[in-house]
Amino acid sequence: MPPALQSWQSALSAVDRDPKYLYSSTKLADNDGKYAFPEPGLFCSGNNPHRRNRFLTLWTTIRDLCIYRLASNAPEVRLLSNQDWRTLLHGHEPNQQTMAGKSRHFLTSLLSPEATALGIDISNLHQVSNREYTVRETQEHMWGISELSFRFELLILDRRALDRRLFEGRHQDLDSLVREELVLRCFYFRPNQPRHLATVSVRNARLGLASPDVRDRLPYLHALRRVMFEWDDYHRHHVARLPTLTAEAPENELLHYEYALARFYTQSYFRYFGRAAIIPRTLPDT
Amino acid sequence: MWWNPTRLDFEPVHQHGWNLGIGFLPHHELQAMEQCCERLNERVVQAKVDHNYPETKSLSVNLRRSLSRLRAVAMARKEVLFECRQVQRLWMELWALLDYIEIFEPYMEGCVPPATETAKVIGCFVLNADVAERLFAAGIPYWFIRPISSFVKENILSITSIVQPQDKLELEDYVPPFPRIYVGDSNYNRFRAISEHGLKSLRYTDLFSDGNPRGIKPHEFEQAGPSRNTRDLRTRHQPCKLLHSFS
Repeated sequence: MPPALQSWQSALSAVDRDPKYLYSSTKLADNDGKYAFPEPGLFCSGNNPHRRNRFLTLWTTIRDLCIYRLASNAPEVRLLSNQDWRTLLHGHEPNQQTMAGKSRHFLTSLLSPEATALGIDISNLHQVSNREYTVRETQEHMWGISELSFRFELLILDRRALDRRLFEGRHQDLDSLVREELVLRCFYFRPNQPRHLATVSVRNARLGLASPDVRDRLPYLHALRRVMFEWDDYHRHHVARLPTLTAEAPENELLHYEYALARFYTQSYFRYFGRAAIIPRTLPDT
Repeated sequence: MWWNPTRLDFEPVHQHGWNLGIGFLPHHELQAMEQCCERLNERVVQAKVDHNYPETKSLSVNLRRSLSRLRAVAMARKEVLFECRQVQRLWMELWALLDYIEIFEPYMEGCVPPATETAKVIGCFVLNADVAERLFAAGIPYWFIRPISSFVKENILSITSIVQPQDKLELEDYVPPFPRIYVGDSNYNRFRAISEHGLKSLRYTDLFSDGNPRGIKPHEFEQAGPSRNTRDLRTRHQPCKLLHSFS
C-alpha cells in the first residue's frame, strides 16, 4: 500500500466515531456508507497474492467503466458496499442457482445501468485471465484508487456539507459547475492534461496534496480550505480562525495547518456519511 | 474543428483484451479539437471583453470543460459522438459571439461606416425592419419576413424555390434515438433548450440525493430513511486500520 501523508493519517485516526457526531441518526440515502470505487484495503487484506492479482486484474478491466458511471449525469448511480465490491472483484461466473452467483449477476447489471442499450457489456468478466502485478504496479494502482476515491468523495461531501444559508443573494455560486471548479483547484494537473477529476496519473503522484514537501502542498491545502469555507460548521470550528500561512512559515506550523484541515475534512466525512474517508496518498520515489 | 462525426470516430478501450463498449474519440481528432479550442481561448483573452460580455467567459469555461471530459472519460459511443458535437457547438457559439463583438456590432451601432461586402455567415430571418437595417449595415444576409398583404408595387426581381430540409439535412434519428428536448418554434427558447441540455452531461449525478432533482438538502431527508446501524458502528470495517497495517 502506498504511504499516506502523516497529517492525513493522524487526522483519520483521530476521527471521533461516536454516533452523536453523525449528522443524522438515519440513513439519508441508499448510497450512504457505500463506495464509489473499491476501498483500497480490500486489495491487501489477508496478504493473499493470488486474490490481490485477481482483484487488480478485474479492477483495471472495469476502472474506466466505474469512472464513466460517476462522471456523467446518469439518472441513477448505485454505489457498492465493501462486500459487493469483494464479490464483484472475485469475478466468478454468474450463476443464477446460488446466492453468490445471483449477487454477481445483480452487481454486473448494477454497475452498468442502461448499459445494454449503450453497447456496454460486462457479463463476461469472469473470463478475464489473471495477470501478475509487481509490487510497484500494485502500489501505483492502489495510489490511483485512493486518489480517485478521495477526489470524488471530496466532490460529494462538498455537495452535502454546503451551508446554503451562506449563499443568500448569490445562488449562482451554488451551481455544481462553480463548486467543481473550486474542487479541481485542490489537485495538480500538468499543462497538457485535461482538468478533470478523472485525470489521475501516477506521474502526478508526488505533486499537489501528495507532494513530499509541505511547502509545495500549501497552495493545494489553501484550495481545500477554500472549498470547506462554505461547509456547515466550518465557521464554528477552530480551523476557521487559523491564519493563512505562506511558504515562509516554519515547517511545524505548516504541518499543523495541514493536520487541522485534514482533521476537519475527515471528521466532516464521518459526520455526513457514517464511515471513514479515503485519504490522499503519495508514492515512494523510484 | 468541422467534420461530421460518425460511428467510425470511436476508439474502444481494451483492457486485458476486453472491450467493454466504452472508448474515446480517435487521438488525432482530439488533438485537432484541442488546438482549435486553444486558439479560440487565446482570442478570448486578447479581446479583453469578458467584463462587458460575461457570456464569453462562461462559454470559454464550458468549452474547456466539455473538451476535458471528452479527453478524460471513456464513454459509450453514443455519448462520445454527442460530446464531440457539443464541443463543436460551444466552439461555434463562442467564435460567433467574438465575431459579433469585434466585427459586426460596430457596424450595427453605427460606430463605423456600413460594410461594403456581404459577410460569409449563414444569416437569419427577421420580422422587424429596424433589425433588418442594422443587419444590412453589418453586411449580414437576412430574410425579411413580411405578410403578403404588405406587398403592393414592389419590384420583384426573382422568385426562388424553397429548399426542402429533408433534401439537404440528415433528419433521421440516431439509433437508439436521443431524448426529445424541445418542441416548438425555432426561436431563443429552442437554443436555450439545446444549450441547457448540452451542459447536463457536465454535471455529475448527485449520488446522495436519491433522485431529488434539486440536489442535496439534508434537512429534507432527516428522519426519512432507515436507521443507521449505530450498534455496529464501532465494529464496522475500518479502512484506516486496515490501510495502516499494510502500508
